[in-house]
Amino acid sequence: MITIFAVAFLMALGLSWYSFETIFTLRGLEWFISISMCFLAVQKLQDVESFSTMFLNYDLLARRWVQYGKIYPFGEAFAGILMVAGALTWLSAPVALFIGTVGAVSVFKAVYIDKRELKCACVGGDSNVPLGFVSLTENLMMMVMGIWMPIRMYLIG
Amino acid sequence: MKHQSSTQAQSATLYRMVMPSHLCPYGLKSKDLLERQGYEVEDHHLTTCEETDAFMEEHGVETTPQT
Repeated sequence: MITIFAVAFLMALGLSWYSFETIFTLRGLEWFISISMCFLAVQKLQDVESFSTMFLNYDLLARRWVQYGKIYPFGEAFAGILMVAGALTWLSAPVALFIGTVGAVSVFKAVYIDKRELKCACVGGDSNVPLGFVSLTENLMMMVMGIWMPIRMYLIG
Repeated sequence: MKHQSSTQAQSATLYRMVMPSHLCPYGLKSKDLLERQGYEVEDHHLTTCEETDAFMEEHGVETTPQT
């Protein structure tokens, strides 16, 4: 999990360097989050069936509509790839905002309200990562990107 | 335990764990799959560990959910 974020971060710095000849840029930050989303999606896509089972332990939407657990990894990869490209933001932002918000509410409820001790499905179905702050971070990052990308693209320009 | 009714809509009886602290994901998946395959699901919730154990004992099965 730490490896994923570290490599994503360094890749973002690398892309930033390649494009702008400076390491720290705003675009680099966007790359960091979107690359992280792609990596996390890949983890889930390795075994969608097992991910979706684990996901049912806490995700509020998946519990009502089981197929959502199978769509989620694809949605995360889809939004992540588009955000790396900065393309079709009108489409990628709502997807990221939607899955990020549903996820954040679910994780928040499970961990901080119900105080349940669960394993996080964020890096796939066979993980041992406890559901907690990092899981919430993944979802909050998606929410931030879902809000930030359209603001930058359409309002700031 | 299989209910294969002769009428057009097939029906299935499902027993799954639904407890305050544990909502079985496999039970949810079973229910979803049955419904998507067009079954009319008679859904039974096992709401306590005792009830679940009793069910498994009675039907000689090791695990739930059972259809």
